[in-house]
Amino acid sequence: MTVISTWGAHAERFVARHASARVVALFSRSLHLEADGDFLCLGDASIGRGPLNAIMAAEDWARLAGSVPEAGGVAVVGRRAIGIGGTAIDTSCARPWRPAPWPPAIGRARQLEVVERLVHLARDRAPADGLARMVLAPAAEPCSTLERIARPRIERLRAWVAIGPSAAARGRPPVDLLGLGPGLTPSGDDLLCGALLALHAVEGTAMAAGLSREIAATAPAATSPLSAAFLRAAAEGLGSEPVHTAIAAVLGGRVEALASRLEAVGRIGHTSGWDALAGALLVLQAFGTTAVQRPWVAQRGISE
Amino acid sequence: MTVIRNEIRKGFYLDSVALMRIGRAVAALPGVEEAGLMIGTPANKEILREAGVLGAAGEPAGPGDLVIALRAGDAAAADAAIAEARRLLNQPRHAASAGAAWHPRTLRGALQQMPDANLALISVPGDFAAAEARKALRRGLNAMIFSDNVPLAQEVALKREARDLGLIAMGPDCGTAIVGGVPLAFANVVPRGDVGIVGASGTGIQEVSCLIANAGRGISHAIGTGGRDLSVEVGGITTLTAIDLLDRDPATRHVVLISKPPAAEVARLVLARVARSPKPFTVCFIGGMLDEGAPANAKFAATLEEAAEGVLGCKLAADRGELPKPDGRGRLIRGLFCGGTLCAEAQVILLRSGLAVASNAPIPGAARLAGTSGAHALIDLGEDDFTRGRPHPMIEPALRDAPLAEAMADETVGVVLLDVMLGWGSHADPAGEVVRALRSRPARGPAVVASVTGTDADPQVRSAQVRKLTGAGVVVAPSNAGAAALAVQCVR
Repeated sequence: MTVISTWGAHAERFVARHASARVVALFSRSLHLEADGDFLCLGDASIGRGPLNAIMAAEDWARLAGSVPEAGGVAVVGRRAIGIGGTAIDTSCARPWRPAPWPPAIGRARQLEVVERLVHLARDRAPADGLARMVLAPAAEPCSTLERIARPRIERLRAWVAIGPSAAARGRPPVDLLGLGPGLTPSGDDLLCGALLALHAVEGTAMAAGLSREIAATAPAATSPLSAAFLRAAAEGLGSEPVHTAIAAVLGGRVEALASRLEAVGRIGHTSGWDALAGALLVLQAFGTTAVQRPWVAQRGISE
Repeated sequence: MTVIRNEIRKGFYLDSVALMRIGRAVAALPGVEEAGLMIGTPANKEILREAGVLGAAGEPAGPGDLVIALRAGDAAAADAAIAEARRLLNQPRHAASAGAAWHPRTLRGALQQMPDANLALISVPGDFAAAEARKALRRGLNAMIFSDNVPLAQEVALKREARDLGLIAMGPDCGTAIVGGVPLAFANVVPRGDVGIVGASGTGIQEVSCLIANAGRGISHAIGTGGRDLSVEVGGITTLTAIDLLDRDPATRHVVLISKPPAAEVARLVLARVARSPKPFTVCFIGGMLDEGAPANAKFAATLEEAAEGVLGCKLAADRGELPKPDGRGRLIRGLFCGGTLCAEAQVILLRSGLAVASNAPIPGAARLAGTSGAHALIDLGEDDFTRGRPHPMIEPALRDAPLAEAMADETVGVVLLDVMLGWGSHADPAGEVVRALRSRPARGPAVVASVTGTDADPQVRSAQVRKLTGAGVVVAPSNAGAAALAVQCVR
């Protein structure tokens, strides 16, 4: 019997909401089911834990992959099982995955030091494709069409984050990175996902909610349905586990953990992990270097 | 006349790595000026429009669609590129649908899937590599140990155990092998043939196998030994086993032995074994001088190029191209290498020409590099100083960006010497990365000369990579030794 061992909140919700779905993509490590704009990603442990992911043992995945001949097939979704290509996948024992709570924050100076350390490590390792290098190590002159178009949009987002919650509440958050860049989930979307996670971590809810609202209104016409599904999860503060743990390492001042966190981030897609991390660092840098009101400081009783 | 071709795939999902790989492969095709494969969001269509590759056929693409967009020099090239994009886009689905992409998590799981396997490739952190290799050997598998940082004592014990079991342990730190026509780790796609290679150097194996392949011959097997095999402690165990294997292989008619200079007593041991072989050998201890003569059935080669020539029985292409004399700049050579053995080979060429040379990985006769000013400096970017905690420059060529920019800005540098490594495992477009890094070179910058180690059957397609480099004003020599010789000629 093929069994889901762990799944994220949106994967669980997918099964609760839908009775049938379509196999829209079949990759070497995973397949994607789609129903009414919601997505479920089934795969082995190498896909990592995340809000849309449902993970099974490698042998189970091999059996399932062998029984699904083509994308485009139909899956039957029951309360306790999913049927695809003659294989029944038991969902009844799936353990829910939720990211660990954010660790208690450290002081401002120390946090800034850790953020800069992570920026330094990440900019040397991030691939040239995608947007991460543009965020972490902006070059003097744009050297590609993507960079020429992306850079002012990144800077608009950076400026909006930097002005802080009270001022940000008066202006519309810039979301023109939506749908921009290479990849199955465009790099700009990954970056926005990372920024949303970091806003949830450091700012509380006001800016994250404002940005999420604007994304929700714009995404249907601006990006792919799959990417929009990841953005909806990020709006709830849910992203891929490695990005959560990288942000947590910064908040907890765990310099020694940064290198291993980066390795895990690098395994998400081709540039998705790096782009999401860059979005998170854009927020963490702004909150470490500006004098904006930071509710998380007050909430957690941390002195400046 | 330039032609734009677009094709929309409705609701098409392909993973990001495959999208990038296919995009680069299409962009590298003959006659293609620009190409992109992107999800058809409004923002991405803006990029494609600005890049001059979006035509009327691509405009209707929606955010859930994939757009193939390219611009080519003529209609034939555009049609061929679209056809290749279609073929590549259809490929992964078939592979996945066969369920063939399951990656076992344990050796045991892998053997259940493939009970007839006779070789395990071990690539785990160095601390665990010996244990995994031992498990493989005890299950009757030969082992190729890609991992590095394996303690020397463990290497010796493993190799002895393999020998006692009648098996071979290639490595640790064995980055290249071709066994029965199958490239393993960093290796090139070369035709099967009658030349066997035993090498303690990955890039040395790659250069020799590609020079032989590009001259129309082929490789029977290329067996990597790991860089320490010819040390006194290891005693050449794997090299000797490899020679035994190639001696017994009827398809192998000529053997090339490649290594950095071995310990003298081990060299004697190996040459004594070579002397007992019925087959002709070419021995290239690069950068090493041997006092004793070669056995009757062997010839020494001082460079990788000479080793290939020894096999082919003729000189390789004499036309090395032309390099303009540096105008208003100094006459120093700055070599920035991804391949350690290619760096060593270039040192041999410079030293033979009577030039004083310094390197961070010096061969006998070269000085250890202390700063880069005032000397011909040949730098191995694969050395630990550059790669600690970072990918090797064959995987991430951007590692060369900073030293390249430094060389461009240094007015004492007249020639920059580069290697571009192709094949499985290497970056998808290393020449493109060089071209990108050269965009900011000064108007009267140094001459740039490069070699491209690879074949047209490699995923990056050698001829396409060469074209990219020459299009950016880089002079491409037919071999690494040729590139170094050209650099010498230029600064004379």
